[in-house]
Amino acid sequence: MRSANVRSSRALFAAIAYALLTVWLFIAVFPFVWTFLTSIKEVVDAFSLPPVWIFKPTIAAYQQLWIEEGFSRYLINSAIVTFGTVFISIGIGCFAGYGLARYRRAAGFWILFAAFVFRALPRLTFLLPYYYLARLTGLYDTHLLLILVLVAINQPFTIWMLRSFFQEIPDSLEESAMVDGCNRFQAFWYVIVPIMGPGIVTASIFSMLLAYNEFLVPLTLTATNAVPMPVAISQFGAEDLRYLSISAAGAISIAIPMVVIVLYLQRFLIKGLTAGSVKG
Amino acid sequence: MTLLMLLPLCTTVYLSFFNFNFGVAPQFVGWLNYTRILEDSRFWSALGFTLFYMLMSIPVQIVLGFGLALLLNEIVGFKKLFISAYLIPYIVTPVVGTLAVSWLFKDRGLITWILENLGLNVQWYADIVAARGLLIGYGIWGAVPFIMLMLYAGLQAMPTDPLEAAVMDGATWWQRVRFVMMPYLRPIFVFIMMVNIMDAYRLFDSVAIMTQGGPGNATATIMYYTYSVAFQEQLFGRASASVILAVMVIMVLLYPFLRQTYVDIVGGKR
Repeated sequence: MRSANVRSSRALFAAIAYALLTVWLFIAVFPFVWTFLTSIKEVVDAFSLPPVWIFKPTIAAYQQLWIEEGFSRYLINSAIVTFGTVFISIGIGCFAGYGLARYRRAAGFWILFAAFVFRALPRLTFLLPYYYLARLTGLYDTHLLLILVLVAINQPFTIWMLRSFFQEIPDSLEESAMVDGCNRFQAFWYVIVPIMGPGIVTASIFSMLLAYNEFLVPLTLTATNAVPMPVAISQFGAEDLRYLSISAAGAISIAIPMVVIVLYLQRFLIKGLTAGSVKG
Repeated sequence: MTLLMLLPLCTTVYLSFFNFNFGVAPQFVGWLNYTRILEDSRFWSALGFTLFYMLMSIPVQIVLGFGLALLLNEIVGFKKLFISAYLIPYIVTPVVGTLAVSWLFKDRGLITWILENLGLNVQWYADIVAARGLLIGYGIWGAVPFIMLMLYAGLQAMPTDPLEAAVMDGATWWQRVRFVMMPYLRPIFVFIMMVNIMDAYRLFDSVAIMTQGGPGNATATIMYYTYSVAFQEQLFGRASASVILAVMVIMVLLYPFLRQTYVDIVGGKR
């Protein structure tokens, strides 16, 4: 009798858990679903109330966005800046993270501290002087400037994350490689880097998200040439209701690449989140 | 790396003592920028709203995130589906999330319309309380996924022995959560608190896109205020002073957490 009770109460508990999780699932994705629906509606349907649920989907908004509005140039800017940032910050991060992982202890705290200071300090602390210097040197509104600033913001975090992955690799591995005649760099490059694959992918995802999603940095440091997609869409005449479908199409276009990439590499992301917290 | 960080910081401090504009030679003005900021009622209201925002959103975020993590830890099927869906608001560009949510609350937005039909007429962008509530709600919505994933990952990594022992001793579910899981997750909670305080303090994107600080000045955060001093009023020296003051406040707020982390990493284990 008692075990039957326990079992039914467990079943009830599970049912409540699923119900609550589903409610949040709905809350989490609904704004995006609704935006997607708006983006494939005719302009008339897009803001008719009560909302139209059955309609003929159209890709007119996407055509307007990409062809008439020339949204692709913002995509190119985003791609250049994102790729550049990931490439440089992971490159530096691998060497620095490896070096520091072999130092142990207190170094860990200070990198963590630097990473936090960079996260904690409002971006504007750095942006005002960078803006000033950029105006002086003529780097203002260039891809290079955006990449440099994003690398600077991102670097401590990347080093810290890579360091925590490197720490899991035992010293004996590269020691035995060095006994076999590798120098320190060869041991690092041929032995350590290949097994670090997952860690590097994880750190890359975080760098990529940061560079691709950043808003305030490009808002202040670009004007016309290097404007990436998030800044472009925010100034896209969203106030004008006729633009709603096009803006929605833009929003969905920005979201899709990241959603596809990250969901595909999901396990790395979760691994990175854990590495970022529990371990010193 | 330290150079990249310290140099701009020093430049900001330096600039904060100058009356500084493009095209005009900088002029040393001493503490004038600071006194101007401290005399500006918009600075105080921005600081006030920023702290109010933190106080209202962070506890809710953590409770909701922990609740969902616990639920996720209990169920067996469909885990991947839930996790993938919850990841979406976290990975999608914040600007896109902000726009998607803000459209729902516009004059002809879906949620405004639903509320109207229920007899509630809310002017989300004109009413002070509603605009603030909207930003806080959006902040919670955006921060929960990260918290939930962190805590869920922590729960998954937790050794099962103490939990089984607690079950043997007849502990209820809540007792297991309160006395076994929560102490185990404590470092993660500290980390989350710290990240969330920092993120909430820096709030800018959603303010700039949703409310532009309005109605009036009611939803301007400290960063939004600084940004408008710098780029709308073109007073870079004064904006630098504002940033320096803002940094001092956040350092005071974060100090206990940094100390704790230092003890955890250098002093204690490992």
